[in-house]
Amino acid sequence: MINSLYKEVRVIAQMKEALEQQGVLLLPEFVDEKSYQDMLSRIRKTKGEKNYSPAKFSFSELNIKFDFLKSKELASFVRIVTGRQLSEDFELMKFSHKDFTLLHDDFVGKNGFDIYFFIMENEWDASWGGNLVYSGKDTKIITPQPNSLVIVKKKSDMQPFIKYINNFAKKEWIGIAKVHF
Amino acid sequence: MEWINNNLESGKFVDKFGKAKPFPHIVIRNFLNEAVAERLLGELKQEKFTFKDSDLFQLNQTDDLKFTKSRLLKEFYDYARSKEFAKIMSQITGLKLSPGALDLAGSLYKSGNYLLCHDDRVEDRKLAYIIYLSKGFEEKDGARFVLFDNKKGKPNTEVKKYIPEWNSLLIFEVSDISFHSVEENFSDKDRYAIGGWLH
Repeated sequence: MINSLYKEVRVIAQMKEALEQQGVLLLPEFVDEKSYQDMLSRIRKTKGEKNYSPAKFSFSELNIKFDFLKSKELASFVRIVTGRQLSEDFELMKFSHKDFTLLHDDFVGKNGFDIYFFIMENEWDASWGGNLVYSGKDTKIITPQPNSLVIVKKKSDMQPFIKYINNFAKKEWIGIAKVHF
Repeated sequence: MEWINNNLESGKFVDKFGKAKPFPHIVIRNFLNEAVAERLLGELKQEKFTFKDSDLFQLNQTDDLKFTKSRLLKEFYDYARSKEFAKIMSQITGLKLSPGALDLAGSLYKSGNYLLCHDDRVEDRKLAYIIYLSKGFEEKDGARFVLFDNKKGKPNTEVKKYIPEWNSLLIFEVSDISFHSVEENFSDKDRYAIGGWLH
Protein backbone atom coordinates (compact mmCIF):
# COMPACT_ATOMS: atom_id res chain seq x y z
CA MET A 1 0.00 0.00 0.00
CA ILE A 2 2.58 2.61 1.04
CA ASN A 3 4.44 4.13 -1.89
CA SER A 4 7.75 2.26 -2.15
CA LEU A 5 9.60 5.59 -2.44
CA TYR A 6 8.95 6.17 1.27
CA LYS A 7 10.67 2.91 2.15
CA GLU A 8 13.97 3.86 0.56
CA VAL A 9 16.76 4.32 3.12
CA ARG A 10 17.83 7.67 1.69
CA VAL A 11 14.27 9.01 1.73
CA ILE A 12 13.65 7.76 5.28
CA ALA A 13 16.71 9.69 6.45
CA GLN A 14 15.44 12.81 4.69
CA MET A 15 11.99 12.46 6.23
CA LYS A 16 13.36 12.05 9.75
CA GLU A 17 15.58 15.08 9.35
CA ALA A 18 12.76 17.20 7.88
CA LEU A 19 10.42 16.27 10.73
CA GLU A 20 13.06 17.11 13.30
CA GLN A 21 14.03 20.43 11.68
CA GLN A 22 10.69 21.75 10.50
CA GLY A 23 8.26 19.88 12.72
CA VAL A 24 6.02 19.00 9.76
CA LEU A 25 6.21 16.35 7.08
CA LEU A 26 3.86 16.23 4.09
CA LEU A 27 4.06 13.07 1.99
CA PRO A 28 2.08 13.17 -1.27
CA GLU A 29 1.01 10.03 -3.22
CA PHE A 30 1.30 8.14 0.03
CA VAL A 31 -0.53 4.92 -0.90
CA ASP A 32 -0.88 3.14 -4.23
CA GLU A 33 -3.63 4.37 -6.51
CA LYS A 34 -5.89 1.32 -6.25
CA SER A 35 -5.89 1.36 -2.45
CA TYR A 36 -6.59 5.08 -2.46
CA GLN A 37 -9.48 4.76 -4.93
CA ASP A 38 -11.00 2.00 -2.77
CA MET A 39 -10.91 4.27 0.29
CA LEU A 40 -12.27 7.18 -1.71
CA SER A 41 -15.12 5.06 -3.00
CA ARG A 42 -16.13 3.98 0.50
CA ILE A 43 -16.17 7.55 1.78
CA ARG A 44 -18.20 8.66 -1.25
CA LYS A 45 -20.91 6.16 -0.32
CA THR A 46 -20.99 7.08 3.37
CA LYS A 47 -23.10 9.97 4.62
CA GLY A 48 -21.66 10.20 8.11
CA GLU A 49 -23.10 11.46 11.38
CA LYS A 50 -23.15 15.22 11.85
CA ASN A 51 -21.14 16.48 14.81
CA TYR A 52 -21.97 20.11 15.52
CA SER A 53 -21.15 22.26 18.50
CA PRO A 54 -21.39 25.90 17.33
CA ALA A 55 -18.49 27.23 19.38
CA LYS A 56 -16.23 24.21 18.83
CA PHE A 57 -16.66 22.25 15.58
CA SER A 58 -18.79 21.11 12.67
CA PHE A 59 -18.01 18.00 10.63
CA SER A 60 -19.40 14.57 9.76
CA GLU A 61 -18.07 11.57 11.63
CA LEU A 62 -17.53 8.56 9.35
CA ASN A 63 -18.05 5.13 10.77
CA ILE A 64 -15.71 3.34 8.36
CA LYS A 65 -12.83 1.05 9.26
CA PHE A 66 -9.93 1.17 6.87
CA ASP A 67 -7.60 -1.82 7.30
CA PHE A 68 -4.72 0.34 6.13
CA LEU A 69 -5.01 2.65 9.13
CA LYS A 70 -4.67 -0.30 11.53
CA SER A 71 -2.05 -2.10 9.47
CA LYS A 72 1.36 -3.24 10.67
CA GLU A 73 2.78 -1.58 7.56
CA LEU A 74 1.57 1.87 8.63
CA ALA A 75 2.51 1.34 12.29
CA SER A 76 6.01 0.27 11.26
CA PHE A 77 6.41 3.28 8.98
CA VAL A 78 5.32 5.66 11.72
CA ARG A 79 7.68 4.06 14.24
CA ILE A 80 10.62 4.39 11.84
CA VAL A 81 9.96 8.04 11.06
CA THR A 82 8.85 9.31 14.50
CA GLY A 83 10.59 6.87 16.83
CA ARG A 84 7.26 6.25 18.56
CA GLN A 85 4.80 3.40 18.52
CA LEU A 86 1.42 4.15 16.99
CA SER A 87 -1.16 2.42 19.16
CA GLU A 88 -4.25 4.63 19.05
CA ASP A 89 -7.04 4.37 16.49
CA PHE A 90 -7.59 6.96 13.82
CA GLU A 91 -10.70 9.14 13.88
CA LEU A 92 -12.29 9.52 10.42
CA MET A 93 -14.08 12.78 9.57
CA LYS A 94 -15.50 14.51 6.52
CA PHE A 95 -15.45 18.29 6.08
CA SER A 96 -17.46 20.20 3.49
CA HIS A 97 -19.02 23.66 3.08
CA LYS A 98 -19.72 25.31 6.49
CA ASP A 99 -17.60 22.79 8.42
CA PHE A 100 -14.74 23.85 10.69
CA THR A 101 -13.01 23.30 14.01
CA LEU A 102 -12.13 26.12 16.43
CA LEU A 103 -9.38 26.59 18.96
CA HIS A 104 -10.85 25.70 22.34
CA ASP A 105 -9.58 25.08 25.85
CA ASP A 106 -11.19 21.61 25.73
CA PHE A 107 -8.73 20.65 23.03
CA VAL A 108 -5.52 21.91 24.63
CA GLY A 109 -3.17 19.06 23.88
CA LYS A 110 0.12 17.68 24.95
CA ASN A 111 3.39 17.10 23.20
CA GLY A 112 3.51 14.24 20.76
CA PHE A 113 2.67 13.63 17.14
CA ASP A 114 -0.45 14.31 15.09
CA ILE A 115 -0.93 12.29 11.93
CA TYR A 116 -3.43 13.11 9.20
CA PHE A 117 -4.28 11.17 6.08
CA PHE A 118 -6.25 13.16 3.50
CA ILE A 119 -8.74 11.42 1.23
CA MET A 120 -10.52 13.66 -1.29
CA GLU A 121 -11.77 13.67 -4.87
CA ASN A 122 -9.83 16.57 -6.33
CA GLU A 123 -7.07 19.05 -5.63
CA TRP A 124 -8.07 21.59 -3.01
CA ASP A 125 -7.88 25.37 -3.37
CA ALA A 126 -6.58 27.07 -0.22
CA SER A 127 -8.93 30.01 -0.80
CA TRP A 128 -11.87 27.68 -0.03
CA GLY A 129 -10.81 27.36 3.60
CA GLY A 130 -10.37 23.79 4.92
CA ASN A 131 -6.70 24.35 5.67
CA LEU A 132 -5.15 22.62 8.66
CA VAL A 133 -3.62 25.37 10.79
CA TYR A 134 -1.36 24.98 13.79
CA SER A 135 -1.30 28.20 15.79
CA GLY A 136 1.50 28.88 18.20
CA LYS A 137 4.89 30.56 18.17
CA ASP A 138 5.41 29.44 14.55
CA THR A 139 2.12 29.12 12.72
CA LYS A 140 1.96 26.24 10.26
CA ILE A 141 -0.64 26.13 7.50
CA ILE A 142 -1.19 22.91 5.55
CA THR A 143 -3.46 22.76 2.51
CA PRO A 144 -4.98 19.28 2.18
CA GLN A 145 -3.83 17.26 -0.81
CA PRO A 146 -5.42 14.04 -2.06
CA ASN A 147 -3.66 10.85 -0.88
CA SER A 148 -1.22 12.68 1.36
CA LEU A 149 0.02 11.83 4.84
CA VAL A 150 0.96 14.67 7.18
CA ILE A 151 2.95 14.16 10.36
CA VAL A 152 3.20 17.07 12.80
CA LYS A 153 5.61 17.03 15.72
CA LYS A 154 3.36 18.75 18.20
CA LYS A 155 4.57 20.93 21.03
CA SER A 156 2.17 21.92 23.80
CA ASP A 157 1.90 25.54 22.61
CA MET A 158 0.71 24.38 19.16
CA GLN A 159 -3.04 24.03 18.73
CA PRO A 160 -4.63 22.86 15.48
CA PHE A 161 -7.83 23.89 13.81
CA ILE A 162 -9.47 23.33 10.45
CA LYS A 163 -10.38 26.61 8.77
CA TYR A 164 -14.07 27.14 7.97
CA ILE A 165 -14.90 25.90 4.46
CA ASN A 166 -16.65 28.61 2.43
CA ASN A 167 -19.14 28.44 -0.46
CA PHE A 168 -16.41 28.58 -3.10
CA ALA A 169 -15.70 24.91 -2.31
CA LYS A 170 -19.17 24.12 -3.70
CA LYS A 171 -19.65 20.34 -3.32
CA GLU A 172 -15.99 19.44 -2.73
CA TRP A 173 -15.14 17.75 0.56
CA ILE A 174 -12.12 16.59 2.56
CA GLY A 175 -11.91 13.20 4.24
CA ILE A 176 -9.49 13.30 7.17
CA ALA A 177 -8.19 10.36 9.17
CA LYS A 178 -6.53 11.78 12.28
CA VAL A 179 -4.67 10.41 15.27
CA HIS A 180 -2.64 11.91 18.13
CA PHE A 181 -0.08 9.85 20.01
CA MET B 1 -26.03 67.26 13.40
CA GLU B 2 -29.27 65.30 13.62
CA TRP B 3 -27.87 61.80 13.64
CA ILE B 4 -30.90 59.82 14.59
CA ASN B 5 -34.22 59.71 12.83
CA ASN B 6 -36.38 62.07 14.87
CA ASN B 7 -39.38 59.77 14.53
CA LEU B 8 -37.67 57.24 16.77
CA GLU B 9 -39.72 56.74 19.91
CA SER B 10 -37.04 55.11 21.98
CA GLY B 11 -39.28 54.58 24.99
CA LYS B 12 -41.52 52.04 23.29
CA PHE B 13 -38.85 49.38 22.77
CA VAL B 14 -37.88 48.44 26.32
CA ASP B 15 -40.41 45.66 26.78
CA LYS B 16 -39.70 44.11 23.40
CA PHE B 17 -35.94 44.27 24.00
CA GLY B 18 -36.04 42.71 27.45
CA LYS B 19 -38.38 39.87 26.51
CA ALA B 20 -36.66 38.96 23.24
CA LYS B 21 -35.41 35.39 22.91
CA PRO B 22 -32.92 33.77 23.02
CA PHE B 23 -31.43 36.80 24.80
CA PRO B 24 -32.36 40.51 24.97
CA HIS B 25 -31.99 42.16 21.59
CA ILE B 26 -33.87 44.34 19.12
CA VAL B 27 -33.69 45.51 15.52
CA ILE B 28 -34.79 49.09 14.79
CA ARG B 29 -35.30 50.08 11.17
CA ASN B 30 -34.58 53.54 9.72
CA PHE B 31 -32.40 54.34 12.70
CA LEU B 32 -30.22 57.13 11.35
CA ASN B 33 -31.29 60.21 9.47
CA GLU B 34 -31.33 58.86 5.91
CA ALA B 35 -29.04 61.50 4.40
CA VAL B 36 -26.55 60.99 7.23
CA ALA B 37 -26.56 57.23 6.68
CA GLU B 38 -25.68 57.71 3.01
CA ARG B 39 -22.85 60.08 3.90
CA LEU B 40 -21.52 57.72 6.55
CA LEU B 41 -21.40 54.89 4.05
CA GLY B 42 -19.57 57.12 1.58
CA GLU B 43 -16.95 58.00 4.19
CA LEU B 44 -16.69 54.43 5.43
CA LYS B 45 -15.86 53.19 1.97
CA GLN B 46 -12.87 55.55 1.94
CA GLU B 47 -11.46 54.12 5.16
CA LYS B 48 -8.64 51.61 5.20
CA PHE B 49 -9.94 48.12 6.00
CA THR B 50 -7.56 45.48 7.30
CA PHE B 51 -8.21 41.83 6.52
CA LYS B 52 -8.61 39.79 9.70
CA ASP B 53 -8.23 36.04 9.57
CA SER B 54 -8.31 33.52 12.40
CA ASP B 55 -10.00 30.26 13.38
CA LEU B 56 -13.12 32.26 14.33
CA PHE B 57 -13.46 34.76 11.50
CA GLN B 58 -12.56 36.12 8.14
CA LEU B 59 -13.57 39.74 7.64
CA ASN B 60 -12.29 43.25 7.06
CA GLN B 61 -12.20 45.93 9.71
CA THR B 62 -11.17 49.56 10.08
CA ASP B 63 -9.08 50.81 12.95
CA ASP B 64 -10.96 52.17 15.95
CA LEU B 65 -12.80 55.18 14.55
CA LYS B 66 -11.29 57.43 17.21
CA PHE B 67 -8.25 57.46 14.92
CA THR B 68 -10.11 58.25 11.71
CA LYS B 69 -9.09 61.22 9.58
CA SER B 70 -12.63 61.55 8.19
CA ARG B 71 -14.34 64.53 9.76
CA LEU B 72 -17.79 62.93 9.51
CA LEU B 73 -16.72 59.62 10.99
CA LYS B 74 -14.94 61.45 13.81
CA GLU B 75 -18.11 63.41 14.50
CA PHE B 76 -20.04 60.15 14.55
CA TYR B 77 -17.49 58.66 16.92
CA ASP B 78 -17.92 61.67 19.22
CA TYR B 79 -21.68 61.20 19.06
CA ALA B 80 -21.43 57.47 19.80
CA ARG B 81 -19.46 58.23 22.98
CA SER B 82 -21.77 61.04 24.08
CA LYS B 83 -24.18 61.13 26.99
CA GLU B 84 -27.01 61.65 24.50
CA PHE B 85 -26.27 58.38 22.68
CA ALA B 86 -25.90 56.43 25.92
CA LYS B 87 -29.21 57.90 27.11
CA ILE B 88 -31.03 56.83 23.93
CA MET B 89 -29.60 53.31 24.21
CA SER B 90 -30.64 53.22 27.87
CA GLN B 91 -34.16 54.28 26.91
CA ILE B 92 -34.38 51.58 24.25
CA THR B 93 -33.00 48.79 26.42
CA GLY B 94 -33.79 49.73 29.99
CA LEU B 95 -30.13 49.09 30.83
CA LYS B 96 -27.99 51.52 32.80
CA LEU B 97 -25.27 52.49 30.32
CA SER B 98 -22.30 54.82 30.58
CA PRO B 99 -21.22 57.14 27.78
CA GLY B 100 -18.01 56.21 25.96
CA ALA B 101 -17.63 54.28 22.72
CA LEU B 102 -15.71 51.04 23.13
CA ASP B 103 -13.94 49.77 20.04
CA LEU B 104 -16.13 51.55 17.50
CA ALA B 105 -15.10 50.36 14.06
CA GLY B 106 -16.33 49.73 10.56
CA SER B 107 -16.68 46.16 9.34
CA LEU B 108 -16.83 44.81 5.83
CA TYR B 109 -17.79 41.24 4.99
CA LYS B 110 -16.94 40.44 1.41
CA SER B 111 -17.89 37.28 -0.45
CA GLY B 112 -16.91 34.22 1.61
CA ASN B 113 -16.31 36.22 4.81
CA TYR B 114 -17.91 35.16 8.12
CA LEU B 115 -17.73 35.30 11.91
CA LEU B 116 -18.37 32.04 13.76
CA CYS B 117 -20.24 31.59 17.05
CA HIS B 118 -19.05 33.55 20.11
CA ASP B 119 -20.54 35.64 22.96
CA ASP B 120 -18.69 39.02 22.74
CA ARG B 121 -17.83 38.92 26.46
CA VAL B 122 -14.73 41.07 26.90
CA GLU B 123 -13.95 43.37 29.83
CA ASP B 124 -17.00 45.43 30.81
CA ARG B 125 -19.01 45.36 27.61
CA LYS B 126 -22.73 45.59 28.42
CA LEU B 127 -24.41 46.33 25.10
CA ALA B 128 -23.36 45.66 21.52
CA TYR B 129 -24.72 47.77 18.69
CA ILE B 130 -24.39 47.46 14.95
CA ILE B 131 -25.67 49.91 12.36
CA TYR B 132 -25.98 48.23 8.98
CA LEU B 133 -24.96 50.28 5.98
CA SER B 134 -25.51 47.46 3.53
CA LYS B 135 -27.80 47.54 0.55
CA GLY B 136 -29.79 44.92 -1.30
CA PHE B 137 -29.17 41.88 0.91
CA GLU B 138 -31.74 39.09 0.73
CA GLU B 139 -32.00 35.79 2.54
CA LYS B 140 -30.23 33.89 -0.24
CA ASP B 141 -27.20 36.19 0.07
CA GLY B 142 -26.34 34.95 3.58
CA ALA B 143 -24.40 37.40 5.76
CA ARG B 144 -27.22 37.39 8.29
CA PHE B 145 -26.76 38.07 12.01
CA VAL B 146 -27.52 34.76 13.73
CA LEU B 147 -28.60 34.25 17.35
CA PHE B 148 -28.16 30.92 19.14
CA ASP B 149 -30.08 29.54 22.06
CA ASN B 150 -28.14 27.74 24.75
CA LYS B 151 -28.13 24.42 26.55
CA LYS B 152 -26.53 24.45 30.00
CA GLY B 153 -24.78 27.69 29.10
CA LYS B 154 -23.27 26.42 25.82
CA PRO B 155 -24.49 27.59 22.39
CA ASN B 156 -26.94 25.09 20.96
CA THR B 157 -28.93 25.86 17.80
CA GLU B 158 -29.51 28.82 15.49
CA VAL B 159 -32.90 30.29 16.43
CA LYS B 160 -33.05 33.68 14.71
CA LYS B 161 -31.42 35.25 11.69
CA TYR B 162 -31.56 38.91 10.67
CA ILE B 163 -30.80 40.17 7.19
CA PRO B 164 -28.48 43.22 7.37
CA GLU B 165 -31.03 45.79 6.21
CA TRP B 166 -29.96 49.24 5.14
CA ASN B 167 -29.92 51.77 8.02
CA SER B 168 -31.11 49.35 10.66
CA LEU B 169 -29.73 49.16 14.17
CA LEU B 170 -29.29 45.82 15.90
CA ILE B 171 -28.47 45.86 19.58
CA PHE B 172 -28.11 43.06 22.10
CA GLU B 173 -27.19 42.68 25.73
CA VAL B 174 -23.76 41.11 26.16
CA SER B 175 -23.92 38.22 28.61
CA ASP B 176 -22.71 34.68 29.14
CA ILE B 177 -25.48 33.49 26.81
CA SER B 178 -25.34 36.13 24.05
CA PHE B 179 -24.10 33.60 21.49
CA HIS B 180 -24.18 34.91 17.94
CA SER B 181 -22.44 34.75 14.60
CA VAL B 182 -22.37 36.40 11.19
CA GLU B 183 -23.38 33.93 8.51
CA GLU B 184 -21.01 33.60 5.57
CA ASN B 185 -21.62 36.15 2.84
CA PHE B 186 -22.66 33.97 -0.10
CA SER B 187 -23.10 36.93 -2.45
CA ASP B 188 -20.83 39.30 -4.31
CA LYS B 189 -22.30 42.26 -2.40
CA ASP B 190 -20.24 44.09 0.22
CA ARG B 191 -21.73 44.05 3.72
CA TYR B 192 -20.77 47.28 5.48
CA ALA B 193 -21.58 48.15 9.09
CA ILE B 194 -20.38 50.33 11.96
CA GLY B 195 -20.46 48.77 15.40
CA GLY B 196 -19.23 49.06 18.93
CA TRP B 197 -20.08 48.45 22.54
CA LEU B 198 -21.32 50.43 25.51
CA HIS B 199 -20.42 49.66 29.13
